Amino acid sequence: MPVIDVQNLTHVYLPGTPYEKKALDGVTLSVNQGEFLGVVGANGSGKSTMIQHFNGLLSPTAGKVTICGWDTAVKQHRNELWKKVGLVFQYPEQQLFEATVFDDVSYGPRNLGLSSPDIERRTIEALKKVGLEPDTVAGLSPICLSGGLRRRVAIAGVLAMKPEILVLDEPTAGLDPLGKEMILKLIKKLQQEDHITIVMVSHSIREIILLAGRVAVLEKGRLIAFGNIKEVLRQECFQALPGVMLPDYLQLIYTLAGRGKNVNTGIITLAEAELEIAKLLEEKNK
Amino acid sequence: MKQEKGLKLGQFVLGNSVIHQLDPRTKIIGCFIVIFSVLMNFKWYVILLNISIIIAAIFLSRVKIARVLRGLRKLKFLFLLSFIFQAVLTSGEPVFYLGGVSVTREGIDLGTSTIFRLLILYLGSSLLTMTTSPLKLASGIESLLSPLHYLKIPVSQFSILISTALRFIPTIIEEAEIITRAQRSRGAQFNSPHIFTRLKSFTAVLVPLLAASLQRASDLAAAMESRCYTGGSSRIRTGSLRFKEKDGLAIGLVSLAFVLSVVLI
Amino acid sequence: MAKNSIELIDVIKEYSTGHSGKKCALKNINLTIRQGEYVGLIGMNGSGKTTLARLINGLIQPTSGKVYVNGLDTADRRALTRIRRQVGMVFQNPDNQIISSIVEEDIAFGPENLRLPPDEVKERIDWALQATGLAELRHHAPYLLSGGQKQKIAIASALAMQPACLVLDEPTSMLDQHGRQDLLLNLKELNEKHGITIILISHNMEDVIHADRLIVLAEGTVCLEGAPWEVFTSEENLIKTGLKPPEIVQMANSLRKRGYAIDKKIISTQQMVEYICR
Repeated sequence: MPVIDVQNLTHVYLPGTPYEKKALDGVTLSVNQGEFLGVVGANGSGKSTMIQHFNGLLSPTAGKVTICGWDTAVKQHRNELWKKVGLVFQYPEQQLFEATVFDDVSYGPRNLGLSSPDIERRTIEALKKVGLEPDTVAGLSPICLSGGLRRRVAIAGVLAMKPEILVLDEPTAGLDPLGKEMILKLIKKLQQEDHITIVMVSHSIREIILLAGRVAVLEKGRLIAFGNIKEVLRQECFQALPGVMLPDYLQLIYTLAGRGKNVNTGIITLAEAELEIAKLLEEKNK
Repeated sequence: MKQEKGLKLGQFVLGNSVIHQLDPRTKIIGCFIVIFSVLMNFKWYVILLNISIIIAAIFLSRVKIARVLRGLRKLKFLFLLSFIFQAVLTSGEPVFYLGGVSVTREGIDLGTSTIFRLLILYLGSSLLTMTTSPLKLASGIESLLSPLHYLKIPVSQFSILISTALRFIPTIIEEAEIITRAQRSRGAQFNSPHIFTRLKSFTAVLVPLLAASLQRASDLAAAMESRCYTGGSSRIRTGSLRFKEKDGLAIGLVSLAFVLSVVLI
Repeated sequence: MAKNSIELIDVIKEYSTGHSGKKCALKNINLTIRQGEYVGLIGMNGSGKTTLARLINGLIQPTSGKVYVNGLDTADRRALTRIRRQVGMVFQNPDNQIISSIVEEDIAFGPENLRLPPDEVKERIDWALQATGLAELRHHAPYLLSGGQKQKIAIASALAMQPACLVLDEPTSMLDQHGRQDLLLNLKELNEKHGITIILISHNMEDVIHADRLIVLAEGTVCLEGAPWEVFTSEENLIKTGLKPPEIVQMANSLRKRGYAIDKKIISTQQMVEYICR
């Protein structure tokens, strides 16, 4: 049974008022245990709305969402879901509020009602998982840290709750290239070592290619593609999508194919693209 | 996630109506006069007079009354509490008894008139902020308070403070919503029966909001400095404020109502 | 001190950090940026880019050394207004630069601070709106607009001062792809059509491929300088600073190592396509 099961999900904000907005329209998808799902779409496509259904913040206007076997239409279930599904918002470092790193990371475990030794153990574990040295940072005030480090502290705060499902909304937003790489490595490690189910929202295909198994593409609230990366990239409707960042090397391959060149448009990595270009150059030299 | 979360409390609504075109000083003065009238004299005919003025103004401003009244939902507790206090604590002829305390007729009268006065206060100030853009409002306040300059009070800084604060109300509300959701996702209980837990949850929202506001203040200061703001009075903005005939008429009408209110005490 | 240029001469900027520590944000910077140039200032976070930007319009002062804007010394308090008329700044966070609830009023803020007559203010607003393609948004409330649109308002507000130079500190880092591309196109236009000097600070390599010149900062010093293609193709030096060239250039560099002759000047997808299809 899938851990996330979305059936015909529709969500409307402020129904019945002049500001009514349909953010999601009949979305159906599912995620299995241990899977890595990438969610892609432009701003306003409904990605952020959808992931808030996964941890019980929102309930469906129509359709059904089942998380770990619990129906989110039931208020009781929604109120408990935060314990199983960890949601990392965009720019999570903006939500740090405690006086020390330790206190902030342990906020979640404290709310879970765990014993003090457990709380301490989980906090230290979580800090180590995000690549921070507990002895050095635990006593520091979050304000003293750089943006990249604060983000890792915020992620540790969610990891400390040991969620079964981890949902991340654009985890690399606003970071410099090195910072981005570090976060992506961290996420990949989590999936490989802890086998958590991960859902990652991004508008960068490059990141999705690096990490995800399957990808869901949203546009204006509708699911327009869902499946394995390679299959989704092959679909026409996808390539013309505005606001979704195709890596330059894919753009290159697709443009060349469009100009009639003999390239394999099924490739997805930079290395593969390089090989294709090498082949073209060989042909050219002949 | 940019969704139109409806109109925020008192937010400026663009328009070209008679009310929009009035000098901001007229509106500020008019608002104060009306509110003062009903505070001074709360007989029902005075309240009726002043509330008619305000409703007429809302009508003339072409702002939908539904928009204006939407904000009242959040204030209903305040209104209810005021009514109850007046009804129960005013001495006079008891109408009925409620669990040991008596509700008097005078109390009900006073309670009702209090609600209406609060309503006038709300409607008047909403109309003001809905038909006057923050910078215009700031210029109006600055111009009216300019004599205080001689007392070394930093009037122009004060006015730009107000207008900037008004401009950021929707942004801050949105930020608060996002932070609340993020903390709720970590188990913050905003509806907990334990007051300490609830307080802690609110701290979890207030501290980040404050931090963001401090950062914002610093960024804004840099941006304003870069555009040659030196804290001085903006003579152009205030200098371009000019009273026209409409303004004279409006102030005249409101003053007449005020005089009537005073006379009819 | 040439007119029509921005010069940094032997600039050092130090900050004191808490308990009597000192951090050196910039060391011995010597730079000249000529009128009409499109310069990309790149480097990792902490390399000193933002410090450099804020030195140019006098928001901060160098610990030692001098900064001259068109002959004016930023250390001279009386010259600051004139300097800020010539150098407009756009910052990273779109929201935290907008002061008013109406786009038009926000753009008017700068000219009004300069005590210009209302007619001229209106003219400048019209021009700024047109130059950034925001004419229809004139009466809109900024908070309802997208990040990309808000950044354009910030640019328009800076343009209303009619600066000779625009400094943008990581303007794309909080924008989505669409907003980013729109903004970069706008900058290119402002530089080519209106001759405005652009100093674009970014940590995204793809942002600066249109620049005339790149300056790479690392740990407070200029460690690489040159045309984009020159900087991108000296890959080893670039990697030492923590940056990597755009992926197309990485591919070209790698192919060159394998023996294929690819023109070093190719740095964008478009150029690569043209080269292969020739």
